[in-house]
Amino acid sequence: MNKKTIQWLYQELPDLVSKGVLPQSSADMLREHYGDIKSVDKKWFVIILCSVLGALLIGLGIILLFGHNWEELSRPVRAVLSLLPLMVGQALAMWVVLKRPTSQAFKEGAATFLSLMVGSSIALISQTYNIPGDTPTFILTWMLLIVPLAYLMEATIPAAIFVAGISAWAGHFWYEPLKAFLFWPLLAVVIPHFIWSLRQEKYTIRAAILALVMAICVCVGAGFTLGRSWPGSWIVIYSSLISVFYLLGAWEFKGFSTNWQRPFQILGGLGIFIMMFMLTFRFPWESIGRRYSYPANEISSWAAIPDNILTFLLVGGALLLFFQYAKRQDWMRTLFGALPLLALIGYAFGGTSAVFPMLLFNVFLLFVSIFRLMTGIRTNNLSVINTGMVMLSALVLARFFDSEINFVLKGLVFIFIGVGFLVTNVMILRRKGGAA
Amino acid sequence: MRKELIIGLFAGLIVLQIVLPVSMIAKRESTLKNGEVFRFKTVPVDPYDAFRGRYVAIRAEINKVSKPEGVDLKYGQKVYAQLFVDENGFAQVSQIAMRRPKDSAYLIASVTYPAGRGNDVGLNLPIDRYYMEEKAAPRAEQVYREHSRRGDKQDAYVIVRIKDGFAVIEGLYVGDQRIEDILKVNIK
Repeated sequence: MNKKTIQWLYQELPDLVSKGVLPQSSADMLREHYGDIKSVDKKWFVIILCSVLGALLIGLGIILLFGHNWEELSRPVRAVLSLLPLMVGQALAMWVVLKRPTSQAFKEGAATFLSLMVGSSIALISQTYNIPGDTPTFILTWMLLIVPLAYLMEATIPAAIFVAGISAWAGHFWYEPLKAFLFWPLLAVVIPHFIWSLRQEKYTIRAAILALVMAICVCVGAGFTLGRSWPGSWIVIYSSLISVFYLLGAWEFKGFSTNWQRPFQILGGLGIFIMMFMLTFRFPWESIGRRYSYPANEISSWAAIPDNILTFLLVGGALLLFFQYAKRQDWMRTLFGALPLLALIGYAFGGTSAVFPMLLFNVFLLFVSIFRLMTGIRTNNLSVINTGMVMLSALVLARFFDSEINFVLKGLVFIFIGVGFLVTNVMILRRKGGAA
Repeated sequence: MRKELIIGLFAGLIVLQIVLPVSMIAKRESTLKNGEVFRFKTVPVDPYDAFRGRYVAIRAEINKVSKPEGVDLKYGQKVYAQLFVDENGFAQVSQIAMRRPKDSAYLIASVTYPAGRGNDVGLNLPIDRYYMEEKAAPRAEQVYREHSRRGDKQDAYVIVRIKDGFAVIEGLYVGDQRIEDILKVNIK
C-alpha cells in the first residue's frame, strides 16, 4: 500500500477511536498490520544537500578567483597555486575515505569539491602557460580523472558531472563519427554506479538526480552520435529513445513511490507527447531524404557501423518493451509505447509522401488523447484527465491554425469529431441512466 | 580487505590526478628554459572563455603553406611545420613534413583545410591564446587597435620557445613593447 495512504490512515485512527467508529483494539491491530512508516530522513537529505552545495560554491569560487589571473604573481608561483586547491581537495577526500567512510554527506561533498578542483587545476595551468585551446581533450582528461570517485567514494555528483562532460565532449566530433561514438562506451562506465544508486534505501534523491542528468545527456549524445547515415532517421531514433525512457522508467522499482523519483518516466512521457505532436506536422517528414552537409565519404564508410548497430538495438529494444507492455495489457503505456512502431511506418512511407505519415500521427494523437481522457474519467483521476485535455487541445489548436488544409475539409472534420463527442456523451448518459 | 583495496585504489587515483598537472607544468617549464626562441607575427582578437578567464585570442599570420607532392592530407591531421627566420627576424614556415625533421626547427601543427585555393594547405599552429588579467585582455586589444588607427601600424608578435616541435608562448608584443608594459603606461 502507498506510504501516503498509510500515513493518512494513521492520522485518522485516533479520531475514529474517539468517535467510537473503531474500537482501540482494531486500531492497534491495523497499526500492527501495516507497521511503522519508514519516513525519509529529512535531516540527512538537508545535510547532504548542504555539503554538496557548499562544496560546489566554494569550488566555483576558487575557480573564479584564480580565473582573474593575477599579474603580480610570477609564473612559478601561479603554477604552484594552481596545484594547491587540487591538493586540498585530495587531502579532504583522503581524510573522508580514511576517517568518515560511512558518512554519505562527507563523501558526496568532498568528491564534488575534488571533481571541480581537478578541472580547475588543469584549466589554471592552461592559463599560466598559454596552452592552446583544445576543449575536447581538456574535458575528456578531466572526466576520466574524476569518474573513479563515483565508485571509490560512492558519490553521485561526480558521476553526473562525468555524464554531462562526455556529452559535451562528443559534441566536438561532428566530423569524426567514430570518435563521437565513444560517448556510449564512456556512458557505460557510470551504469553500474547508477544501478547501485537505484538500490539504495537511503538518499534516494541521488538516483533521481543522476537519472535526470542521464536522461537529458543521453538525448543530447544520441543527437551527436546516432542516425548519421540516414537523413531523417532522427524521427525513429528519438521516438525509440524516449519510449525506452518512458517504458523503463514506468517499471516498478523498489522505493520509488513519488513521481519526481522517476525522471525517466516523466521526461519520456513528455517527450512522447512532444514527438507525437511534432510528427503531426509536415516538416519532420520532409527532413527524410534531405542530404546532410558533412563529408560524404564518412556517411557510407565502415565508420557508420557502430552507429547503425546501436540504432537497430535501440529501435529493437523499444519495440520489445512495447510488446511486453501489450502482453501485460497495460493499455495506456502500450499506446504511448506504440510511438516507435508508428514512427517506423511513417519513416518507411515518408520518403515518398509526407501526407500519409502526417495523417497517421493526427489520428494517433487524437486517439491517444481521447483514450487518456476516457481512462481518466473512468478511474476518476484528475491529472490523467487534464493531461488528456492538454494533448487534445494542442492537436485541435494546431490543426485549426494549420494553413495547409482547406477550410471546408477542416470544418467538416471538426464538426464530425464534435458530433462524435456528443454522441458518446449521450450514449454514456443513457447507459448510466439505465444502470440507475 | 575491501577497505584496504579502496584506499589503495584511491591513493592511486590521487597520484594520477596530481601527476598529470605536474607533468604539464614540467614540460612547459623545460621548453621555456631550453627551447629555441622564435618570433611569430600575430593578429589579436578578444573572445571570452568563462572557465579560463580572459585571454587575447591570437592567430599566427602564417596559416598556410604549399602542399607537398604526392601526400594525401586530412582535416585535423598532425604535420610537422618546418621553420626558418625571414629577413625581418620573424618565423616562417618553409614546408610541411609528415615525419619529424632532423635538421631544422619545426612545430607540430594540424591541418585546417587539406585542399585550399591553388595548392595551399591550411595550417593551425598551436599558438592561439595569450592569457592576461581579467580586465587587461580587452584593453590589450583596444591598445592594439589604437596603434593601428594612428597610421603607424605596428607589428604584433609573440615570442615563442620551441623544443622538439612543442611550443610555449613567452610573451605578446605590440611594436617592440610587451603588452603588459604598454597597458601600464596607458593607464597612467
